[in-house]
Amino acid sequence: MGRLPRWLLLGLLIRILLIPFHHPWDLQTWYNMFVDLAHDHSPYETLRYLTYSTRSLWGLMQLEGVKTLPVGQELFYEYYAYPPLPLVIYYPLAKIYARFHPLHYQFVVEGTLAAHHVPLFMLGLLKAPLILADVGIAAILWRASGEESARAYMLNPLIILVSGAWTIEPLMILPTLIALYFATRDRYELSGFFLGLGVLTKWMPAVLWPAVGIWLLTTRASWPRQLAFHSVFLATCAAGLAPLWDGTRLVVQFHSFRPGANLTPHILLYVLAQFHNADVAWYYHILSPFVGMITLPLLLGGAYLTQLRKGLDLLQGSCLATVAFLLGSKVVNEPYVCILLPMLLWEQALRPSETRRFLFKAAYALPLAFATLNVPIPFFAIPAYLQVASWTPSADYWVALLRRAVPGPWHALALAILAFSFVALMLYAWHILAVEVGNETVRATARGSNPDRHRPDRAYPALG
Amino acid sequence: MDRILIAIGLTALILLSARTLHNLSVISATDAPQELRLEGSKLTALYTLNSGMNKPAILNARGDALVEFSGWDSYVTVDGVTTDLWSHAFNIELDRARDRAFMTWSSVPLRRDESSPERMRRYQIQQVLILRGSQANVEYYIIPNEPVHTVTLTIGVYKWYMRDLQRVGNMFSFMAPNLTRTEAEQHMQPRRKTLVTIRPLIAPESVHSLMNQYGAYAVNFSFQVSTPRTYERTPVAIFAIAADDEAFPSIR
Repeated sequence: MGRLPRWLLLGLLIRILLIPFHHPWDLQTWYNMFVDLAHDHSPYETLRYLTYSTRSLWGLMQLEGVKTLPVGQELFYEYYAYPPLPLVIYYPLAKIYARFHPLHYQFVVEGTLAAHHVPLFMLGLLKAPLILADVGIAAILWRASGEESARAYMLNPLIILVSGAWTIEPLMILPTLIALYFATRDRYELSGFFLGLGVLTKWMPAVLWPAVGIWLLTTRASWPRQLAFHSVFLATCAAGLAPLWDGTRLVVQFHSFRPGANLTPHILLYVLAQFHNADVAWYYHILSPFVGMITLPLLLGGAYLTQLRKGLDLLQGSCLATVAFLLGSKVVNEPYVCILLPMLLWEQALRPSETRRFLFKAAYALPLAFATLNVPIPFFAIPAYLQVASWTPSADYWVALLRRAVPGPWHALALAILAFSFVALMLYAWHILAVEVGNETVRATARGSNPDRHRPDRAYPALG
Repeated sequence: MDRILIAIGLTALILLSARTLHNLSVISATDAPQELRLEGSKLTALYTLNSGMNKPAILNARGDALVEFSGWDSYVTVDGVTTDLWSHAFNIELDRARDRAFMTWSSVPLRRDESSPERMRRYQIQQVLILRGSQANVEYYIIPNEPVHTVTLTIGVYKWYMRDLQRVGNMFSFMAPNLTRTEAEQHMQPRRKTLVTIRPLIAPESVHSLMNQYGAYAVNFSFQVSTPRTYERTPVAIFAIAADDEAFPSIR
């Protein structure tokens, strides 16, 4: 106990104190996922039911403009839209919880605010794996790039907000980081397996698969070893997705039809809605998904081509692929940025520079500022308030509060400025990672163990 | 090599674009058919979209109408304002893969027409129909968009005419002949009859049947809920409709 560093204890303490706090909508998802699992019901079936129910609703948005977008009809309900691995992780916890407490579904209609009372015990069970995953990520970072990186991760405010009170990002980051670590240690089969686990937790690590593949190509890894990496990765994904293929297809549809939002130029939809009275359904349901379908493969393709041509190493290639995803994706919710942060810390430890330090700080500060305005931040306290409240207002009260707190046009403009700043930052990150690749300073420890700069597979000394 | 990669990439992008635009157009298209059919394994739900009846009609495998849920003669009273369901705006979505239909009535146009719109509450009534073999479940929910105190929903379930109508508690059973209303009023003989059972799974406040000189033709069920939560679906009424004698043999 005495050997545990203080920053780790502080990080754990903050996360434990954050247990009663949560993003209201996401908490609704996790709560009802527990209900589904406790009743042996597939969350994908619940997603399907809620989606058709949502499509039949008519006039809700015209009446309220709750979501501030004058769109008459939503095409999907935002419920559990992840791959199946989190269900496996939470299944036993949901069963344990259900042994002590009855569980009933609680849903509000799409587009409004979810303010449900969720017992503290369930919040604890939900967050325990996330806290453990954060510790695991810190441990990997410590081993790969030193204590400073681990501390910076554990005490990072965006990471704390996301893993302590928002989504299951740490469950995805941990296997992804392990995959990269094993790849740098020439253990490609394990790397493929853990990258598969990352993809089975959230879809985003899939963009790293080609990055690792290109790195194996450029480092001239033997063909059987490359084949082993790809085979294990694909087999892991197939084994996880095949049993729930029907649900997986629905989730993929959800993501493909989803309109753009948040830290992307698609924020203009929200701005447009403030100054334009017409129904923006065409922009929302057709133009935005279409633009997203073009930009994502285009930018990812550009990143992979850059990695191939410049012979970027694994970490640079992975960072660049993630940056390309954040630039090209039509939806970049604030938690999505979290996967980039530990990679940037690792990269910064290998090639320390002021620009990389700035990049890391800006990469978490902008999404944090965006979340503060967008959610907005006081709403994370609603679940905590509901733990002690004798008066539990219904959703309309919170919606009215939101409207008073954030007048539409100014809110939209402020978010748009932050979103475009983030896009500019990602373009700058691309420049740093791809264009300034030859100018970085390699840290002494890394340089010492890296006699051949053209063999990046030897560029990752264990620092733990 | 670069040129080949770029050419392949652009071709793939153009194909993807065309397919995506097509898919997006299909999903956002507003189709206006006269009727919709949801076909289950043994029962079919028929929605007539330009009439206040058949919301839906439930047909057996031979196409005989067993019961019709009425829009004209179903009413919702929200905090003292009563309106028939057909006067609301409605929307319908079919989940054919799961034999489910979702239909929602909204008070939006009623508020626009009302001289004092504040009297007319903002709400939606959702009907979910699920076909399972020879049974159909029809569920009604209220979704208030503002605080609401009392909701009374009266659902008219029709069949011209219900022969041998029997009531056991709140459960009704009758024989449904394969006749239209006109044929039945001309005293034509049916070629076949189906035993139909209607069982409300939420206890109604009141139930009464409607009759004329030709016989019983409807049963009205009234349900009430108080202070439903805003923006949440609160169940108001649930019916289990069974055809033939498979589901409820005890009341044959």
